[in-house]
Amino acid sequence: MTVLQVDANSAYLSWTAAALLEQGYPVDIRTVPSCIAGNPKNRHGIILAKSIPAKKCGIGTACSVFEARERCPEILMFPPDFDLYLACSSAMYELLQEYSSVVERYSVDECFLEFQSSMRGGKDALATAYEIKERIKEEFGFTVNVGVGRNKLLAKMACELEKPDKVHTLLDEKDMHAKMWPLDVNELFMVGRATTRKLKRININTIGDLAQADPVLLRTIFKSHGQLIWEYANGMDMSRVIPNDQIMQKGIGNSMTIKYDLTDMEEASTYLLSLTERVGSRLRKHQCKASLISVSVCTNSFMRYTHQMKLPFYTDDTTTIHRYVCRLFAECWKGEPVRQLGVRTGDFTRKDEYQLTVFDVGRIERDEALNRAVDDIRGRFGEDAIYRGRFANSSFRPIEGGVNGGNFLMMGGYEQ
Amino acid sequence: MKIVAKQIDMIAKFNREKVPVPYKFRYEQSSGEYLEIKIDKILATESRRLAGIETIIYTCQSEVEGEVRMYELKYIIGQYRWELYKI
Repeated sequence: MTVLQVDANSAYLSWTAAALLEQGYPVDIRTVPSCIAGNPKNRHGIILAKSIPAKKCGIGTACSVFEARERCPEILMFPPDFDLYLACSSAMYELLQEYSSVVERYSVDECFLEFQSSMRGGKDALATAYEIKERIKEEFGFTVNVGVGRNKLLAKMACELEKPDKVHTLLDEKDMHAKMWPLDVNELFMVGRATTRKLKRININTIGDLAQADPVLLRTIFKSHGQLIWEYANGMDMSRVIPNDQIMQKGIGNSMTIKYDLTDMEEASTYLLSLTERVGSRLRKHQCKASLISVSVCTNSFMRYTHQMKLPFYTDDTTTIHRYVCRLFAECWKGEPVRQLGVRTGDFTRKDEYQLTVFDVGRIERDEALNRAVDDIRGRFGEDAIYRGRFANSSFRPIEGGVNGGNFLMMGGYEQ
Repeated sequence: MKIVAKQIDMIAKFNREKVPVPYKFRYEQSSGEYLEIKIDKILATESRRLAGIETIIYTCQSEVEGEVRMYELKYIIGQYRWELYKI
């Protein structure tokens, strides 16, 4: 099997650049220090994407707007335009479908495709990769990296090798030894900050060191994760490219950063309700019912904690979920100022195959009909068409959470 | 030709052909006056998807204030909007 991974180079920035050039903006913002950043007034002031010249000034993704201005005063900043990004991502996805019937949309800017030589005149994988790269540059005006590997992991590693606008291969052992093994171990997929630190402590510095280490030793330190990263370092990965509609989703959740530090229980409950509205509608859209509910809290000193509970039944009803969410929040909140709130659901069952309870059947059916009606009204007339009385004449938004009002693709390539 | 990307008011024909055919348009000059231009000739059309935005670009020719000029018009399909793209 040969897998191709296509990854847009500094996606948000180059998509904005392409759109700006199209509108007659005088410079290509990819060639000067520039970045895409959220609005600091709403406490979303972090850098979402940066150009390569900005990176050279020491600006990294997720550093704050304030820090960025300090390091590079002449930096150009642009707000994100998520509708544009979705359009770019969809255009890329559609183009890739011409090359393979098995395309996995891994996130908004990354796709995996299983290489099929029968598509488009039997070209080999490398030629196809170059063709994809050139066509995207020509037709859409942004550059991509294409990684060609014998499995998903190697395709992804190849894609990360050198940017921008490049094709890399990791097809055999020789490639892997020459290109992947000399890299620092933190470049490996699934090796993060904590794992890197532990690996360096036992003198594993490069991916090659990790590949040649004893898997038994790794298992004793990292448990099953040790086996996984050892396999990855050796280029072993059995996972298949799966079209997104066939992937079973394991959890649905949303979170929001509040504009000010929250200290009032009543207000917190209102924010949690607006988040639950979003989570509930997503649950129902995915035809799922959940039995695991969790709440996450981030305080103004950036302490994070979560609290969760397993329900003895399955539900997709907003009011029911909110009741348990509030109970969880009350149990775990110690009264400190809150910066961010999140609601998550998990442990799903399909909507049409859950266990009924004798006494609640009538109520469940009534709630389902109500939720269905609300979802239909919102689908037809917009999300603000109907909302709870609690939000009337208040500054709270009736539905919170999600990027671009829920109309965006996140990791895993799910529509929210 | 230089990119101006100026919004314009347009009268266009939608007939059995696939793409709409621009007929005449007007745009606001820097003086605040409107200049009306009738499209004399469409030299070429091209569909584009730059940055994922579907557009049709028309290369046209008209007489503008006694002078024959070439320019490009853009129809942004998703936004149902016309622009004077380059002149």
